[in-house]
Amino acid sequence: MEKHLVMYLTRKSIMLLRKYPLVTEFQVSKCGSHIVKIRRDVLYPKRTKYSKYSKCRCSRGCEPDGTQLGFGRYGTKSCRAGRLSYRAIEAARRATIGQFHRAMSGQFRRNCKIWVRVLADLPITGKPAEVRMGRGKGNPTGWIARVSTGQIPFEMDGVSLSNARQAARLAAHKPCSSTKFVQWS
Amino acid sequence: MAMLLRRPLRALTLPLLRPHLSTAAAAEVSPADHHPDLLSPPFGYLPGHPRPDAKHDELILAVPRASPGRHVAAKERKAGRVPAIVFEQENGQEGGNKRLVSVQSKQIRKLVDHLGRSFFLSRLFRLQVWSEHAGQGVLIESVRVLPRKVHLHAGTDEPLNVTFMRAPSSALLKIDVPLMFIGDDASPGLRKGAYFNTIKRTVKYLCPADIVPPYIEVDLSELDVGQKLLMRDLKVHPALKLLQSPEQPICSIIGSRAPEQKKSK
Repeated sequence: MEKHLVMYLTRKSIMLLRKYPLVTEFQVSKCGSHIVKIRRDVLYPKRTKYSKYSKCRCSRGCEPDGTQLGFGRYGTKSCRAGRLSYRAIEAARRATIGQFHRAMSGQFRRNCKIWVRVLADLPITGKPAEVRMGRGKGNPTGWIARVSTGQIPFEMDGVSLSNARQAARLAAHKPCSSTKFVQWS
Repeated sequence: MAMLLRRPLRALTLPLLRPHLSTAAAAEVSPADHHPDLLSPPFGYLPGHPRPDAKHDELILAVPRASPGRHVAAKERKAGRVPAIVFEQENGQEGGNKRLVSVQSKQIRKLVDHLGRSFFLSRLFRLQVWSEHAGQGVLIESVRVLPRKVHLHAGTDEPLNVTFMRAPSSALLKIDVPLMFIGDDASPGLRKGAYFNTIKRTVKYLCPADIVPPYIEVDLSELDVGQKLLMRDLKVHPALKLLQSPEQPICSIIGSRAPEQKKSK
């Protein structure tokens, strides 16, 4: 079953996306224009191989990759398996960057960095309101990223511990999922 | 390789010469005399180098485990113990004289939480294997061990498995030594607003068992914008052998990214 769900995004593209976490209009071309599309600064793939996918279980399978900090010194770790929508990921990223801007005003270190380690590349569907059941699967309405227990969706560096903790607290309120603050040790 | 060994010796000769200079015995001291002492056993920690904190010098009590397997391991975890294994480096192809043990989950978790995962894996502990729980019964084995691997639960950070390696004085251990960056507030590059780029957080060394460094201090107080530190610039005991390329960088200070961030607003 899983073998048929072949994503259009290759591993190299996802690594490129990780490499440029603060994706702006200028940086979209570095990820490849056929992969990433920007609509009001929200990141999701422009095209996938199929437009409707089965969502499967978020916590089933092997040990998830990305349960330890690999890029920054601090991060947030999910305590529960679930889905992260692309809007929630973008809202959490903006909340973190906003805290970084507030932290940079009084700090000597003015180069904070955030890594977003999840990509919402799985389309979800829904039927419109007042539509009865049947007649096939609904139309795509959004994008989600599957997050397992213990997976780290956000990492940050270049900021002090208190500001990182505050940024993680602000980011934790955006997705409807419980997270905790982790630091490299 | 000789250059790698000579460089720390020059830096380390000065602290060793200071007590002799005060007693006017500098003429009798030469670097050649200290060179073989540093590179042959018995090894000792050099002054100015980090040594293990005595606060965490704990005795790990263990009991033998009857059999391997996931059902026995699940029962051990339910009873508040962590299934572990003790082996040694010699005779590895025949199992390394391994012994199945169980250790207290609270003790391992406390050590990992207080020290940190990377720092827990880079220091030695004293392990005692008793025939019954809580240090009763007959003492089967008492040995110095290095935690080789610790497996934590992804969500709850509960220890699931610990692997210990016996560390006699004659052993040479491959250890991922964590780095501690100090002096970042006095760094001229960071004061100018540059970005501190951490490339490596641990460095792999071949260490004699008597001088396992708990961490390596990296001094950033003299780094400017555009400079970087390589692995050969680390100050370690000369008996430690670097298992990675000496030309690999561990951290660098790169230019500011402020104009790019302003554009993204």
